[in-house]
Amino acid sequence: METLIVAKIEEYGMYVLTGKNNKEYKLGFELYGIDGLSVGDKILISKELLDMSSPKFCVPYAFEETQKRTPQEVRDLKDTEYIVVKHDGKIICMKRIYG
Amino acid sequence: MENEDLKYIKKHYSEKMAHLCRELFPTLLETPGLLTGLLEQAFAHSSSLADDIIDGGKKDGFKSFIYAMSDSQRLSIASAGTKTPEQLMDEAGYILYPECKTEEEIQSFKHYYASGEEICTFNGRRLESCRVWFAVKKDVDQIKREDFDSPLRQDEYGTSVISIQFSKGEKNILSIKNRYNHRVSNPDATFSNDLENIRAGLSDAFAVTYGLNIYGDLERKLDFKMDNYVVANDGKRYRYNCEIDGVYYCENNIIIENNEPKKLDPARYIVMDYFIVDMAKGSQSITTKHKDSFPKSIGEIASITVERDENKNRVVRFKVKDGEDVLITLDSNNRIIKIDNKNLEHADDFFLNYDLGIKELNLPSLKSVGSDFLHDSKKIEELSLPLLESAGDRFMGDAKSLTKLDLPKIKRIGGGFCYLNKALTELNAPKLEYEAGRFLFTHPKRESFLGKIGASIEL
Repeated sequence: METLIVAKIEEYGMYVLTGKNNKEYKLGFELYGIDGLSVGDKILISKELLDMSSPKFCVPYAFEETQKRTPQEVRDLKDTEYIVVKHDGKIICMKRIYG
Repeated sequence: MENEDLKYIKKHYSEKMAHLCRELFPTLLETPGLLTGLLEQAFAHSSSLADDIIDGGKKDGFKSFIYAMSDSQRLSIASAGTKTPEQLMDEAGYILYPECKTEEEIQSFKHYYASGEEICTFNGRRLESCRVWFAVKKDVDQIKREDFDSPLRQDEYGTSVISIQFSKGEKNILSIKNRYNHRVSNPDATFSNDLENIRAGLSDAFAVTYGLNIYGDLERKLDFKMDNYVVANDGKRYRYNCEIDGVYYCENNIIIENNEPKKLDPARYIVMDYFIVDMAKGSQSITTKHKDSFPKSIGEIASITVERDENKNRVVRFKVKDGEDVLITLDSNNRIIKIDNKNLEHADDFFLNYDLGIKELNLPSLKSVGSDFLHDSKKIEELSLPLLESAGDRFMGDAKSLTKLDLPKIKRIGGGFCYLNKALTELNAPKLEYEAGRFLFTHPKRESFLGKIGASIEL
């Protein structure tokens, strides 16, 4: 899992995020249950979802809020189906939805 | 007559690779030198490449990658074919509907989806981030959901209604949505997100007709990664046996440091895992730049010869000045798989400390070991050390596959004995008197092991 910080918000739902060693990622997110991300928000996400060659990679990713996992479980299970978002000081688990 | 490219691939990448290329790239093989040129550009020679692609589930990604390389060389918008996406989709049996410009147009396709399988495109925000098309099979009315009990992403139903979506912005990344949606794995990557898998020329046709920058998509396909492969500064992917502190030890005697591949002369050197044997050197002919006491454990070397065992594996035979020959068996990728050393009585700290492919270890005289003995040996499943009496800290700490361990004479062990192992089922240590803590620390049956070993253990 990798923790990314939102560095910049671009048009078309795209975000520039920075990870370890200031490595930059450009990802798209549709997040249902929260009103978008803000600069400084954090996302805990599987490394596989950062790999453009993975069949799980997508632009944009769609996630919805869920209570089925705790943030610790997401971290421990390294599940590609879940992310943890820290937004407006709240920590929210989100499950991937497709299509 | 066999195609010259296939002959070359067979020689430098294996017969299996030639078969795989014939299956995946029949069109590219029609142009002499094209496929071999692309392979040479992207992959160092390796007899394991085909197995790694197939076993790693990377066939689709590899195919897209090679075609993307070919596309990036030839792609010229001006010279793209004359057919439109609609014509090409028609030839593939689809009706490609006009681009959805409004939410209502998107919603008009919802009736094709079974209840609970609607794609989240219908949730109402997709046009903010993507350009959206729908394509529907001409015989969609004949393709019934109830006829497909075991959905597969690429089956007739899953591909009968697809949504082709390109992200908006500078680079247009493609995602092809499946009719089953989340009932199948990776439904956002139908046809491996490659329009060429629907009809040849379709990527270019979309790019030209709809002004899409599919270079963004090419970039995605070109970003092809495989486990245990590293890209060096010559652009080639090298299969590595192990990586320690940014140094990659690869098959075919290649070491990559600071991204620079360096091949050691195979007539003189053998790179086996992270050890280098210099056949021309005298008694100190095996070395490593990492913390490991294994080279020292061999003793004073008189000569080195290489032979083959009954399985055609290479065996490096070290004749030593005092004692019996030490044998190191290597697999086809030069990973150490077996060590026979009847002379060794004491192994210093960090003996074979890093991750190795070693499966068999014959050290019948070994009486004591220092700390971190075989710490990261993740492949070893069984081990017997009949004379071992004492072991230092973190003995086989991360030996995850170890299931049977026979230590009939062991009396004292340091802290962290097999502390990350969860697989051990048999442990024979009847004489164990003392362990320094964190014994089988993460093992689910830790308590029962402790119980069997006896009450004398101090925790």
